[in-house]
Amino acid sequence: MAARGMSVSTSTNWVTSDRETLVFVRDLARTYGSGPGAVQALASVSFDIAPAEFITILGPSGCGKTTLLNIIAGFDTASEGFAAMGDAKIVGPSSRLGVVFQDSSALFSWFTVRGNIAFGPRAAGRPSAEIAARVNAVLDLVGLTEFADKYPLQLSGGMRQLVAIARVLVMDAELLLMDEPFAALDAIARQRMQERLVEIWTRTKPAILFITHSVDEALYLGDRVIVMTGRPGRIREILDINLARPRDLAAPAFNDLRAKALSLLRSTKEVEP
Amino acid sequence: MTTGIPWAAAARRMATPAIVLIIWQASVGAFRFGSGFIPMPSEAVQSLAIWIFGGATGDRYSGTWVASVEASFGRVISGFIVASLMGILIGMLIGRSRVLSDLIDPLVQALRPIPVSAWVPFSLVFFGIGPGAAIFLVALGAFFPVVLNTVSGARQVSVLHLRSSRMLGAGALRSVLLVVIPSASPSILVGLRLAMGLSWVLLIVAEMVAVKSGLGYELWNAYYYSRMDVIVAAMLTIGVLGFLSDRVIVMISNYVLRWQSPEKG
Repeated sequence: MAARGMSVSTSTNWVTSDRETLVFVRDLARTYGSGPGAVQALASVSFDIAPAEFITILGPSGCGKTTLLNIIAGFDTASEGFAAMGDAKIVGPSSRLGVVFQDSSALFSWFTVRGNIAFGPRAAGRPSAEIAARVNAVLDLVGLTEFADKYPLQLSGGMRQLVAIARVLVMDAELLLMDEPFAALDAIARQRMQERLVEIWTRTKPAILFITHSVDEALYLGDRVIVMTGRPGRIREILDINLARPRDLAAPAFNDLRAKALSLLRSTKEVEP
Repeated sequence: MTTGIPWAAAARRMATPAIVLIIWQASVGAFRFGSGFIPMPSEAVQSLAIWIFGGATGDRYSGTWVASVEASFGRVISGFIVASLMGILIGMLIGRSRVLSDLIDPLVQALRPIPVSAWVPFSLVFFGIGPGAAIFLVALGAFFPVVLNTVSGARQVSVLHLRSSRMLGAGALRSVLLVVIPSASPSILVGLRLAMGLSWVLLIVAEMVAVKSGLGYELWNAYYYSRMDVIVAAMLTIGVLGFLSDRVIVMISNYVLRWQSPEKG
């Protein structure tokens, strides 16, 4: 099951680092189309994701954030470079790479909350007693036990995204790829969901790659914030956020980081390819 | 819409049919037009009662209603089930595979405009006079709304659902059964409802020409015996059965699609 969509390459010379690395992203580029009409969405993006690390990617709309996520998720193919999990290049979707989409309509609206969460374990052919136990444990973890028999359309937007998180957590995904999952929520619900996500992550410790265009969201959530600039998308700078959790959005240190992130995003000087 | 107490609304809804019946009864009673063959509603109801419950010796229709209904109903259901299974299967193949769409869809589109009644001679050659011909005609006609709606539902499956399914480790068959078919189910059920309505139309046509039993056969036969009262009773029977089978499909739809309702489920 874990090997689904992964190919073990004969050469694994990217595994050089001493520290433990879960995912390698190396010189990733993506160009759509060819000839004079070609559009480069992403150019030479490289970074590592450590196990249990929470990385946020911060960038303006159209900076290739979603393209980057789709390549790491195995939905899209890189034009140059690669993404690899350990010594295996990512060539297709896998339940080790759990994706939480921006649009909560990605849930299976015809299954209940329980049915949505059980989908992955069922596809993996787990025994039904084990599925029930795992689903119940995850329901408890995300706090949706009392909504287990509701259908997605009967839930609020925030609860739907919790189900979307739960259905990949139940697979013990090592990396959660989250594409602006809270973008459709109002400010209060959004803040509560950020707090819940940090709680869930603290208890289960998958690595998370979280895309957002909100500076506060990126700084509140991430161990590291990858700031990207647009067209083609490339990494502007990677910020280490050494603030204890839960973070105070009004603390002076937070304000300093906010100012820095904003100035990085505002800087118009774009490096020529 | 107008508002009011429930019985007033109910009375309004029944008023027009009641007026039509009264005019029909009174004018036929007064003038006996149509060379005396046009029955009054009261006579048709009386004939229906005899047809259902029997008790009139010498009336060839006395007590034969249940047998006719059983024969017709069995053919409608058989044809409908064949059409549904074939329609959903072929619709899924056309809707989800580019290659199969190129191979099968032109044939479906070429056959679709041919009225099913034009297939009567062929059905008689292949199946002879008998229930097989009626089931074939019902299945053929009901197939098209099912296949067209299944194709449209299958083509509209969200890429997010397909990606979710792959990401969670489902293979091709499981994705079709657990994602594509449920996602297309609102559209498929619209096709099934249209197919059920069409099935009754086709059944009556088929039984008039290709079978020697059933409601359509009795209706057409009654014309030769100048029994317009039986014809009206048969029309009434077919109308009620068509209505009830539509309600059953709607009830099944509402149950299957209960996830679409944002209310508590």
